[in-house]
Amino acid sequence: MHAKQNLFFLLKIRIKGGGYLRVKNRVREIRKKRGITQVQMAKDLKITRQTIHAIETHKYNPSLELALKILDYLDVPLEEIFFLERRDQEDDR
Amino acid sequence: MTVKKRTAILSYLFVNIPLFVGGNFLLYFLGKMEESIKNFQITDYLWFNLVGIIGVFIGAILMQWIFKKKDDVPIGDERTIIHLKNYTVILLYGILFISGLLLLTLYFFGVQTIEIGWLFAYLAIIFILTIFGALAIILLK
Repeated sequence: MHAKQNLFFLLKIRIKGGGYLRVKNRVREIRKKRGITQVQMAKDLKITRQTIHAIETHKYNPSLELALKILDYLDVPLEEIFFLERRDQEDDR
Repeated sequence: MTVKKRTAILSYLFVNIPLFVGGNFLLYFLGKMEESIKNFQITDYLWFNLVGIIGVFIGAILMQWIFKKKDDVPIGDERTIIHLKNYTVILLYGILFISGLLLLTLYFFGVQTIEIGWLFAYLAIIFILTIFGALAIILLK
Protein backbone atom coordinates (compact mmCIF):
# COMPACT_ATOMS: atom_id res chain seq x y z
CA MET A 1 0.00 0.00 0.00
CA HIS A 2 1.20 3.50 -0.75
CA ALA A 3 2.62 5.28 2.32
CA LYS A 4 0.34 8.30 1.93
CA GLN A 5 -2.76 6.11 1.83
CA ASN A 6 -1.93 4.75 5.27
CA LEU A 7 -2.91 8.10 6.77
CA PHE A 8 -6.50 7.57 5.71
CA PHE A 9 -7.00 4.44 7.81
CA LEU A 10 -9.01 6.55 10.26
CA LEU A 11 -11.69 7.07 7.62
CA LYS A 12 -12.38 3.34 7.51
CA ILE A 13 -14.82 1.58 9.81
CA ARG A 14 -13.69 -1.96 10.45
CA ILE A 15 -16.43 -4.58 10.51
CA LYS A 16 -16.77 -8.03 12.01
CA GLY A 17 -15.54 -10.87 9.85
CA GLY A 18 -12.93 -8.75 8.07
CA GLY A 19 -13.21 -5.89 5.66
CA TYR A 20 -14.29 -2.38 6.39
CA LEU A 21 -16.90 0.23 5.68
CA ARG A 22 -16.00 3.54 4.17
CA VAL A 23 -18.03 6.68 3.64
CA LYS A 24 -18.21 7.49 -0.06
CA ASN A 25 -19.93 10.32 -1.84
CA ARG A 26 -21.11 11.47 -5.24
CA VAL A 27 -20.41 15.16 -4.71
CA ARG A 28 -18.20 15.49 -7.81
CA GLU A 29 -20.67 13.65 -10.02
CA ILE A 30 -23.65 15.78 -8.93
CA ARG A 31 -21.64 19.03 -8.94
CA LYS A 32 -20.47 18.43 -12.50
CA LYS A 33 -24.00 17.54 -13.60
CA ARG A 34 -25.17 20.92 -12.30
CA GLY A 35 -22.25 22.70 -14.00
CA ILE A 36 -20.92 24.12 -10.73
CA THR A 37 -17.19 24.69 -10.36
CA GLN A 38 -15.25 23.84 -7.20
CA VAL A 39 -14.45 27.54 -6.71
CA GLN A 40 -18.10 28.55 -6.99
CA MET A 41 -19.16 25.82 -4.57
CA ALA A 42 -16.41 26.83 -2.15
CA LYS A 43 -17.55 30.45 -2.24
CA ASP A 44 -21.21 29.52 -1.70
CA LEU A 45 -20.55 27.06 1.12
CA LYS A 46 -17.85 29.28 2.67
CA ILE A 47 -15.25 26.51 2.66
CA THR A 48 -11.92 26.14 0.87
CA ARG A 49 -11.60 24.65 -2.60
CA GLN A 50 -9.11 22.15 -1.16
CA THR A 51 -11.79 20.84 1.22
CA ILE A 52 -14.15 20.21 -1.69
CA HIS A 53 -11.37 18.37 -3.51
CA ALA A 54 -10.63 16.32 -0.38
CA ILE A 55 -14.31 15.41 0.02
CA GLU A 56 -14.67 14.49 -3.65
CA THR A 57 -11.61 12.26 -3.56
CA HIS A 58 -12.84 10.63 -0.32
CA LYS A 59 -9.85 11.83 1.66
CA TYR A 60 -11.95 13.83 4.09
CA ASN A 61 -15.36 13.14 5.62
CA PRO A 62 -17.17 16.45 6.19
CA SER A 63 -18.71 17.26 9.55
CA LEU A 64 -22.44 16.67 9.91
CA GLU A 65 -22.99 20.42 9.60
CA LEU A 66 -21.06 20.68 6.35
CA ALA A 67 -22.64 17.50 4.98
CA LEU A 68 -26.11 18.99 5.62
CA LYS A 69 -25.02 22.24 3.96
CA ILE A 70 -23.86 20.28 0.90
CA LEU A 71 -27.22 18.43 0.78
CA ASP A 72 -29.05 21.72 0.99
CA TYR A 73 -26.81 23.35 -1.61
CA LEU A 74 -27.12 20.54 -4.15
CA ASP A 75 -30.77 19.96 -3.17
CA VAL A 76 -30.58 16.18 -3.06
CA PRO A 77 -31.48 13.65 -0.34
CA LEU A 78 -28.74 12.28 1.90
CA GLU A 79 -28.69 8.77 0.44
CA GLU A 80 -28.06 10.15 -3.04
CA ILE A 81 -24.80 11.75 -2.02
CA PHE A 82 -23.36 9.96 0.97
CA PHE A 83 -23.34 6.19 1.39
CA LEU A 84 -21.34 3.46 3.06
CA GLU A 85 -19.28 1.22 0.86
CA ARG A 86 -18.18 -2.19 2.01
CA ARG A 87 -14.70 -3.31 1.09
CA ASP A 88 -13.48 -6.83 1.77
CA GLN A 89 -9.86 -6.29 0.91
CA GLU A 90 -7.33 -3.76 2.06
CA ASP A 91 -7.25 -1.91 -1.26
CA ASP A 92 -7.88 1.76 -0.72
CA ARG A 93 -9.59 2.85 -3.90
CA MET B 1 -15.01 48.07 9.57
CA THR B 2 -16.49 44.61 9.17
CA VAL B 3 -16.27 41.98 11.91
CA LYS B 4 -14.17 39.79 9.60
CA LYS B 5 -11.63 42.53 8.97
CA ARG B 6 -11.51 43.49 12.66
CA THR B 7 -10.92 39.84 13.62
CA ALA B 8 -8.14 39.58 11.01
CA ILE B 9 -6.43 42.73 12.34
CA LEU B 10 -6.78 41.61 15.97
CA SER B 11 -5.39 38.15 15.14
CA TYR B 12 -2.51 39.75 13.29
CA LEU B 13 -1.73 41.99 16.26
CA PHE B 14 -2.17 39.05 18.65
CA VAL B 15 0.68 37.31 16.83
CA ASN B 16 2.88 40.36 16.26
CA ILE B 17 2.77 42.13 19.65
CA PRO B 18 4.38 39.17 21.52
CA LEU B 19 7.00 39.08 18.75
CA PHE B 20 7.91 42.71 19.44
CA VAL B 21 7.88 42.33 23.22
CA GLY B 22 9.81 39.05 23.04
CA GLY B 23 12.25 40.48 20.50
CA ASN B 24 13.09 43.44 22.72
CA PHE B 25 13.55 41.15 25.71
CA LEU B 26 15.74 38.91 23.56
CA LEU B 27 18.01 41.84 22.69
CA TYR B 28 18.10 42.90 26.33
CA PHE B 29 19.02 39.46 27.67
CA LEU B 30 21.48 38.75 24.85
CA GLY B 31 23.20 42.02 25.76
CA LYS B 32 23.34 41.03 29.43
CA MET B 33 24.98 37.67 28.76
CA GLU B 34 28.53 37.10 30.02
CA GLU B 35 29.90 36.24 26.57
CA SER B 36 27.68 38.70 24.81
CA ILE B 37 28.42 39.54 21.17
CA LYS B 38 27.27 43.10 21.70
CA ASN B 39 25.80 45.23 24.44
CA PHE B 40 22.75 46.55 22.65
CA GLN B 41 22.16 50.28 22.84
CA ILE B 42 18.94 52.26 22.51
CA THR B 43 19.63 52.79 18.77
CA ASP B 44 19.76 49.01 18.27
CA TYR B 45 16.35 48.69 19.91
CA LEU B 46 15.01 51.49 17.70
CA TRP B 47 16.39 49.80 14.56
CA PHE B 48 14.95 46.46 15.62
CA ASN B 49 11.50 47.96 16.20
CA LEU B 50 11.62 50.02 13.00
CA VAL B 51 12.53 46.99 10.88
CA GLY B 52 9.86 45.03 12.77
CA ILE B 53 7.16 47.63 12.05
CA ILE B 54 8.12 47.68 8.35
CA GLY B 55 7.99 43.87 8.38
CA VAL B 56 4.53 43.92 9.97
CA PHE B 57 3.25 46.31 7.27
CA ILE B 58 4.77 44.23 4.47
CA GLY B 59 3.24 41.13 6.09
CA ALA B 60 -0.17 42.83 6.22
CA ILE B 61 0.07 43.78 2.52
CA LEU B 62 1.12 40.22 1.65
CA MET B 63 -1.83 38.83 3.61
CA GLN B 64 -4.25 41.10 1.76
CA TRP B 65 -2.71 40.00 -1.54
CA ILE B 66 -3.18 36.35 -0.59
CA PHE B 67 -6.82 36.99 0.34
CA LYS B 68 -7.45 38.78 -2.96
CA LYS B 69 -5.63 36.12 -4.95
CA LYS B 70 -7.99 33.50 -3.54
CA ASP B 71 -10.88 35.17 -5.36
CA ASP B 72 -13.12 35.55 -2.29
CA VAL B 73 -12.87 31.85 -1.51
CA PRO B 74 -12.41 31.43 2.26
CA ILE B 75 -8.86 30.79 3.34
CA GLY B 76 -9.88 28.40 6.11
CA ASP B 77 -12.71 26.15 7.25
CA GLU B 78 -13.40 23.19 9.54
CA ARG B 79 -10.69 21.15 7.81
CA THR B 80 -8.12 23.89 8.47
CA ILE B 81 -9.01 23.77 12.17
CA ILE B 82 -8.53 19.99 12.20
CA HIS B 83 -5.16 20.40 10.47
CA LEU B 84 -4.12 23.07 12.98
CA LYS B 85 -5.15 20.85 15.90
CA ASN B 86 -3.07 17.99 14.49
CA TYR B 87 -0.21 20.42 13.90
CA THR B 88 -0.40 21.61 17.53
CA VAL B 89 -0.21 18.06 18.87
CA ILE B 90 2.71 17.15 16.59
CA LEU B 91 4.42 20.45 17.39
CA LEU B 92 4.03 19.92 21.14
CA TYR B 93 5.60 16.49 20.83
CA GLY B 94 8.36 17.92 18.61
CA ILE B 95 9.17 20.74 21.03
CA LEU B 96 9.22 18.39 24.03
CA PHE B 97 11.36 15.87 22.14
CA ILE B 98 13.87 18.43 20.84
CA SER B 99 14.01 20.22 24.21
CA GLY B 100 14.69 16.93 25.98
CA LEU B 101 17.32 15.97 23.45
CA LEU B 102 18.95 19.38 23.72
CA LEU B 103 18.94 19.20 27.50
CA LEU B 104 20.54 15.76 27.49
CA THR B 105 23.15 16.87 24.93
CA LEU B 106 24.03 19.92 27.03
CA TYR B 107 24.24 17.76 30.16
CA PHE B 108 26.59 15.27 28.48
CA PHE B 109 28.73 18.13 27.20
CA GLY B 110 29.14 19.21 30.80
CA VAL B 111 26.97 22.32 30.72
CA GLN B 112 25.62 22.97 34.21
CA THR B 113 23.99 26.37 33.83
CA ILE B 114 22.21 28.10 30.96
CA GLU B 115 22.09 31.86 30.71
CA ILE B 116 18.63 33.30 30.42
CA GLY B 117 19.58 34.94 27.09
CA TRP B 118 19.88 31.51 25.46
CA LEU B 119 16.48 30.52 26.81
CA PHE B 120 15.02 33.65 25.25
CA ALA B 121 16.76 32.86 21.96
CA TYR B 122 15.37 29.29 22.08
CA LEU B 123 11.88 30.58 22.85
CA ALA B 124 12.11 33.10 19.99
CA ILE B 125 13.10 30.37 17.53
CA ILE B 126 10.19 28.17 18.69
CA PHE B 127 7.76 31.10 18.47
CA ILE B 128 8.81 32.13 14.94
CA LEU B 129 8.93 28.57 13.60
CA THR B 130 5.52 27.81 15.14
CA ILE B 131 3.96 30.83 13.44
CA PHE B 132 5.52 30.04 10.06
CA GLY B 133 4.47 26.40 10.41
CA ALA B 134 0.88 27.40 11.19
CA LEU B 135 0.83 29.80 8.22
CA ALA B 136 2.18 27.06 5.96
CA ILE B 137 -0.54 24.68 7.21
CA ILE B 138 -3.27 27.28 6.52
CA LEU B 139 -1.99 28.21 3.07
CA LEU B 140 -0.82 24.87 1.72
CA LYS B 141 -3.24 22.29 3.13
